[in-house]
Amino acid sequence: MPFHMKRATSFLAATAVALSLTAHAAHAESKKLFVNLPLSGPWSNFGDGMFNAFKLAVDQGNASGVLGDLKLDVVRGDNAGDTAQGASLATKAGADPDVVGAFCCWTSGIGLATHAIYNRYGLPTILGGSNDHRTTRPYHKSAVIFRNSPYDLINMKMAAYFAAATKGFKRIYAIDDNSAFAVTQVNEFTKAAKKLKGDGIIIGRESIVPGEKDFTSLLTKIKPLNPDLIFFGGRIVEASLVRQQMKKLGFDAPIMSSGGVFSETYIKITGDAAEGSLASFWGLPMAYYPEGRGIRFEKDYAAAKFNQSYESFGPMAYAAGQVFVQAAAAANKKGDVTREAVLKELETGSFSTMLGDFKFDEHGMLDILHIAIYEVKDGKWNILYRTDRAATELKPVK
Amino acid sequence: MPEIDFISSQIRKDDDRSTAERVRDRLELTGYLVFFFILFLIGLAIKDAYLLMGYLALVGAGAFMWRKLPRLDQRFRDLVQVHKGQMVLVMSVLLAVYPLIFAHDAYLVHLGALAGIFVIVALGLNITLGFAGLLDVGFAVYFAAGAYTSAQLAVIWDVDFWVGLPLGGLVAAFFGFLVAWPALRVKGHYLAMVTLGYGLMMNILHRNLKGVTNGTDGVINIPAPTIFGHDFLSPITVFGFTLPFQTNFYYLTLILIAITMLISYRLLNSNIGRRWEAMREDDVAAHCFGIDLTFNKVLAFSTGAFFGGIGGAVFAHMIGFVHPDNFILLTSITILAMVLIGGMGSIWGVALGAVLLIMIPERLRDFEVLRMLLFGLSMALIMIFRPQGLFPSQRRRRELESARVEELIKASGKENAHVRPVD
Amino acid sequence: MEIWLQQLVNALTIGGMYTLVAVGFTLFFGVLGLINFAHGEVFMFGAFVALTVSTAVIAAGMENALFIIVLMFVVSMTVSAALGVGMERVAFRPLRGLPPLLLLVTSLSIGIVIREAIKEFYPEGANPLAFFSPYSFDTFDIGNITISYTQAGLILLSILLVAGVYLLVTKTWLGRAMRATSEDVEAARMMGINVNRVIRDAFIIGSALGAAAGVMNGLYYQSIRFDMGWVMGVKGFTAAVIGGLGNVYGAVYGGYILALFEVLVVALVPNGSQYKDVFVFLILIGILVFRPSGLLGTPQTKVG
Repeated sequence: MPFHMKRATSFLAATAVALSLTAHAAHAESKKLFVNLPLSGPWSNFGDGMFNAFKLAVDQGNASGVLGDLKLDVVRGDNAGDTAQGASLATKAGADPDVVGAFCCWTSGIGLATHAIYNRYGLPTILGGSNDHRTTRPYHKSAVIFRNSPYDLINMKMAAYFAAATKGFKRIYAIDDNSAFAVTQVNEFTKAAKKLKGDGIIIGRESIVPGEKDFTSLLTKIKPLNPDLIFFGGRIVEASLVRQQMKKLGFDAPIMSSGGVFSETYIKITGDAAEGSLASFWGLPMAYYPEGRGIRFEKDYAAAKFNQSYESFGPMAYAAGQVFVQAAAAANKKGDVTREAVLKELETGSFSTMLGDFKFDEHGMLDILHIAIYEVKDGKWNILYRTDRAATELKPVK
Repeated sequence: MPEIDFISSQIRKDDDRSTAERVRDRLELTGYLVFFFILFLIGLAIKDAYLLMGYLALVGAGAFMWRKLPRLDQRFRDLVQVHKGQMVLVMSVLLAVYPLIFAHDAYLVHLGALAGIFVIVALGLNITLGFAGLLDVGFAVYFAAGAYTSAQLAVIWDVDFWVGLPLGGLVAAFFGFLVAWPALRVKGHYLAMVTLGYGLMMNILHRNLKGVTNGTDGVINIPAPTIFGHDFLSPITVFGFTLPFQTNFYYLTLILIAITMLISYRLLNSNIGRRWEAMREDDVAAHCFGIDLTFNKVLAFSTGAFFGGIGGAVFAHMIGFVHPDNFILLTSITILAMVLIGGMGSIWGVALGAVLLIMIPERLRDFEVLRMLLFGLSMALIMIFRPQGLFPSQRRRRELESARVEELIKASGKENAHVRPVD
Repeated sequence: MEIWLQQLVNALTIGGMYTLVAVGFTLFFGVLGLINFAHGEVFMFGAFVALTVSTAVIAAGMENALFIIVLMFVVSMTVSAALGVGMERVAFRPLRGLPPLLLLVTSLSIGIVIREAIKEFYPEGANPLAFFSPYSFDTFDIGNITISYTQAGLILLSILLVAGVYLLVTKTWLGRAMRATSEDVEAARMMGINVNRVIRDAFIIGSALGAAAGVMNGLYYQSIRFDMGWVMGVKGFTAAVIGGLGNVYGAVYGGYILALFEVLVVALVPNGSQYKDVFVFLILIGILVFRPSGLLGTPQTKVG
C-alpha cells in the first residue's frame, strides 16, 4: 500500500501544521461568552436580533477599554428552537473551561431543559426570554441563573389585571399552543383573572398544535359562546392565523397575547387584521428608556448594519451583554476572570444598562421591571399602560 | 458476479495461509483501522471552519478514490471478514483510549457518549430491520419509552438507574410488542407507513399526556447514575490524571455497546437469526417450512425495541432531562438513516453509521446556517452513490447487487420473462 | 345548524388542498412505488415561487389582482413541475429497483435540502412572509354562514383542478398508461408503454398540483413560511392512504374525508384540536391494517 501510506502521511503532516497554526492564533487572555439561541428555525427572527444586540454590547465593551487586557469572545450557538439541541449546546458551553458566562434560550422549554445543566457546571447564565418561573430561585435552586426580564407570574398578573380590571372584559376564552411557555402563560393568566373577578370570567380554554394552519373549525366552535376577548398564549404565526381567521368568520372580539407574539413581524404578516390586537410585554418603546439610552442603542444597532432588526427581545439581550461586560471588568480588576468570579459579581454588583440601573435580587431577578400593555393602531404597536419599577400597579401612558 | 463473490468468500473460510501471512494480514488490518481512527480524530479536533472545509473536501476526494479502487474496498472487507477477532481487539483498544486523547475537551467526550447511545439504538433497529427485514420508521417511540420510563421512575419514585435501565428496556419492548400486532397484517410499504403513523401518534401523546410525560415541560432534573458510591457527575482520577465526568457515561455506553453487539452477533448466528433471515427473504416460503411468523415477528420487534429503550434510558440520565422534541419523526428518520448509511444487517457498519450521523451534524455546526442543508445533501449523496451503505454485510450486498442486475436487465428491455419482481 | 354548515365550508376549503397534495403522493406511489416525502416541500416551494411572482409583478407596476393571481398559479405550477422532474431524474432514477426504504430516506433528504435552501437563500426566508392576497377580508353571508371570496374561489378552483385530474386519468391515453403502470409495471412495459415517460408525466402533474395547493394555501392563510411543507406532506399522505395509495380516484375523496373528519373531531371532542392528529393517525393505521385499498376502495386495487 505505498500509495495509501503516502496519502496518509502527507495528510497527517498538513493537518498537524494547520492545527498548530490555529493553536497559535488563539488569544491567551481571552474568555468566552456562550450564546444559546434559536438562530435558525421558526423563531430565528427573535434569536438573530438577540444575538446581534448581545454581540453589539460585548463588542462595544471590548472597544471601550473597560476590560483592560481581557478580551471577551462571543460564541454563537444555534439551538434552532429545539429543546434537545439547546441542551446539547448547554453541555458544550459548560464543558469548555474558557466560557465564563452564558446567555440563553429565548424559549421557556429550553430554559427548563438547560438550567440544571448550567447549574451542574457552575456556569453563570442570564436568561433572555425563557420567562417560565420554574427555572429560577425560589422555584428552583439553580444558583447560577439570572434573568433580566420578569418571569411569567408577574407578567401575567399585570396582563390579567389589565384585561379583567382596567378593561373590564367579562367573557375571556383562552387558547394556548401547547408549548411549555404558552401553557404556563395561560395558566397564570387565567389564575390571576379568576382571582380578580371570579371563575366565570374564563369561559373556556383549548390547546392548539403549533404548525397547524387552520383554526377555523375551532373558532367556529368558540364564536357562539360570545367571548369578548381571546387570550392567546403562543407565537407569531399561529396568533396571526387565529386573528385573520377570526376576521374571516366575522368574529369581532379582540385578541390579546404576550411575549412570543409582540413583534413587528406579527403586524407585517397579519396586515389590517392586526388592528386592535392587544399585548402585554416586558419592554418599552425605545424613547421611554431612561436618559435616552434606548435611542442610543437604536442608533448603535443601526450603525452596525446587521441584516436583521433587533426585534422585541433585542434590548434585553443588549442589556445582558452590558451586564456580562461590567461583571467581567469588575472581576478582572480583582483577579482572575473565572466562572466563580463572574458569578460573584452578578450576585453583588450593580449594573448600568440601557434598561436602567439595577441589581439582581437574591433570586437572580433584576429589580427594575418594565411591563407595558400595547395595542396595534395604524400598523404599529402603541403603548397604553406601563407599570412602576416594582410592577405593583398599572398606569396609563399619555 | 454474485455467485463468484459467494464462492470466493467460501474459499476464504478454509484458511490455509501460513502464519507469517496471517500476521501480516492482521497488521495490515490494524493499520487500516488505526488510520481511519486517526482520520476521524483529526476531523473532530479541527476547530477552524475553513480547515474543516478543506478536511471534508479531502475526505470526500478520498472516498471518491476509494470508490474507484474496488480491489482496495474488497481487500479491506476480506480482512475484516477473516480477522473478526483482531478487529474487535483493535477497535476496543482505540475506543477505550478515546477519552484519554480528548481529556482536555469534555464536550468531545460527551459527544462520544452521545454517539455511543445512538449506536445502541441503531443496533436495536438493526435487529428489527437488518436481521428480520421489518421496516420500522417509528423507532423513536422505543427510545422515548425507555427514556421516559427510567426518568420518571428515578424522578418520582427515586428508583435507582441500574433498576430503571432494564425496566426502560422492557417497557420499550412492550411498545414494540404493541405495534407488532397491527404490523403482522401488513408488509413492505404498508408496514413502513403503519410504523410511521405510530411514531407520529406517540409523539403527539408525549406532548399531551401531561400526567405521564409532563407534556412539553419535559422531565427535568433526572439524577445521574452512581456505581459503588461513585457519582457519574464526578470526574475520574487515575494516577493523578483527571478525566472529565462525561467519561463515566462514555465507558458505560461502551460496555453496553459491547453487550448489544455480542447479543446481536449471537442472535444472528442462532436458530432465531436464521428463522428471521428466512422470513426476510420470503415469508410465505418460511411459513411453509413451519416457521411461526407471528412469534418471530413479535420477537423481532420486541428485541429491537428493547435496545432502543436501553439507549433511551442512558440518554435520559446522561442529559438529565427528557422532552418530546427528542422523539420527533426526524429522530426516527435519523436512526433509520444510521442503519441504512452504515449498511443494513452489518453490526459494525450500523455502529459506524450511528457515529457518523451524530458527529457530522455536530461538526457542520461551524457552517451555521448551512448545517442542515449540508446534512441533507450528504445523506442524499450517500444514498444515491452507495445505496448498500458504507460498510454493508456481505449477504446484504449480494442481495442489492442482484436486485440491481435485474433492474439493468429490465431497463435494457431484452429480457422480460423470468424476472423476479423487485420488492 | 348554521355552525355545521360553516364547519362544512371550512372542511371543503382545507379538503381541496389536501386532495391536491394527495394526488401527487398517490401518483408517485403508483408509478414508482415511492412515498415521496419531498412532496410537501414542493408544495412549500410552489408558494414561494408564487410570492416571488407577485412581488416582481407588483414592483413592475401591474395592478390587476385577478391577472396577478392567474400568473402566480401558472408560473408556480410550471416551475414546480420542473423541480419535480429534476428531482426524479437526479435522485430517484438512479435508485429505481432498490428497496423502497432507500427511496423513502432519499426523498426525505431531498426534502431537507429544498427546505433549507429556501430558508437560507430566499430573502428573509427564515421569517414568516406576508402573501399577496387581495380578496381575503371581502366576505359575503349566506344565511348565518360567512364566506370570504378567496375561500369561495379556492373551493371552486380545487374542485375544477380535481375534476381535471379525474378526466385526465379516466379519459386520456396518458391516464390509462398511468393506471396500467400502477397496476403492473412489467405488464405495462410489455404493452408498449414508455414507463420512463409515464413516470416523468406523473411527476409533472403531481408537482404542479402540489404547487397549486401551495399557492392556494398562501392565498387563504395570507402568510407562508419555509417550514409549512412538512405538516401538509403528512396530511396529504394521510389523505392518499385514506383513498388507497396508488389509487387516483381514491385521492380525490381522501382529502375531503380527512378534512371533514378533522373538523368533526375539533367540533365534537372537548379540547379536540389538541388530540385531532392522534385520531388522524389512528385512522391511518386502522385503514392500512384493515382496509389497505382505502376507505372506499375496491379490493382488487393494488396492495403492497
